[in-house]
Amino acid sequence: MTHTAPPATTVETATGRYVYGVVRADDGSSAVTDLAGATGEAVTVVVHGELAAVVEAVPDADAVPAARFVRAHARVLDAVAARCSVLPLRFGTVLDSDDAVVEEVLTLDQTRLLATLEKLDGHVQLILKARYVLDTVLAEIIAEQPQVRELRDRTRDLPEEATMPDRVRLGELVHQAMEAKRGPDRDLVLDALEPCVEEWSVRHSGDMNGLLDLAVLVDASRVADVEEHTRRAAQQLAGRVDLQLIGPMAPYDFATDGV
Amino acid sequence: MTVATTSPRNQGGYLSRPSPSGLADVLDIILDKGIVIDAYVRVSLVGIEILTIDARIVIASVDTYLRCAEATNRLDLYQQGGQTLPELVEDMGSSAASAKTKGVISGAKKAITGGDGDEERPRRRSSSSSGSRTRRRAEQE
Repeated sequence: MTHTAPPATTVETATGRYVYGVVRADDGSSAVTDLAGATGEAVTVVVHGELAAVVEAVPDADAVPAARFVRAHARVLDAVAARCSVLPLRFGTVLDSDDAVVEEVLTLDQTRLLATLEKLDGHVQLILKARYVLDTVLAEIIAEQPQVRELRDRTRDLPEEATMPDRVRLGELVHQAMEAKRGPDRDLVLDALEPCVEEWSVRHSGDMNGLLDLAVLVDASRVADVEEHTRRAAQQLAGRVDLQLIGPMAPYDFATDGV
Repeated sequence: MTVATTSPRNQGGYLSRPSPSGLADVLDIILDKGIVIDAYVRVSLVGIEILTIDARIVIASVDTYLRCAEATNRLDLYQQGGQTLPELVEDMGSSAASAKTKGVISGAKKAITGGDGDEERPRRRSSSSSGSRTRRRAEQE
């Protein structure tokens, strides 16, 4: 960690700036025309050199329900991304003043930020969520693994307290079996998508039925292609996996490349 | 939750194109993503940086195993006609004995959403959260 010890106070902002993201100075105000932020105030830009920060003046960030910032963060950035290349900031960034925005955000490595903005030109992000159909996959595991069958028979009609070690063992086996299935099933989805995406980034999913959470960066003109390829994967996995494709949206997962 | 198109969950194998509208779904997309500035720790909104750190904790625990066992045993009930699948899936989605990761993340979402309702006014910074801030800051110095 490089930052020095901050002053004792944190967000004492009579007039804070919620920072949504960074665009090119050239895109500047046209990127935010007619956009309202979390408080309903107009979203504006703070320009410095070749970069501009997309900000909203918030008198007292603590007084605004966090839920409004969550929604505004996504809504504003998605709207800006539909107009020009934008690098989202981490959700929840509030600075004291326009000067602080320049100091803390716009004087980051400009060359790299500009290079990333350029890379994102004409691209959008989509998120793919693949979820196992649990009854199907659990039935597969029960059919494939005699030990799972046996442990299930032994534990299912008895109270949990009386069978704890067996239950833990059963769960461990099922957990491992699902993990073993994830490898090839993930590959199938990734192979299907590979021809039509520029980059991807695997997201963490803690769901028991989670197979794959994936952010992909695609050429804006190829969204329909991605849908088609995903649909093909869905057909191959029919009955076992449900697929959701979300977006286009701002490139939340691809803003930090090289920064 | 995300509203999928129409098919019931147990048909499977289809592609849906939902638009995230629930607060938890939106948060799931944006949380922990994007450029972090150096000053983030001292400037971010109430408690949020703590949540994003906590959300990274991944533990495959006994809880996880028990949840898998429960699902497997319940499947048997389903096959005997005792429980429909949607019930099963819903039960597991809200199970208290969920994986640690899931618990922490949904805890983070809960803290921001103020429970399950949208737009609820969150409480001001609590003493416990400022305690965590202090602790984290201390670790960094």
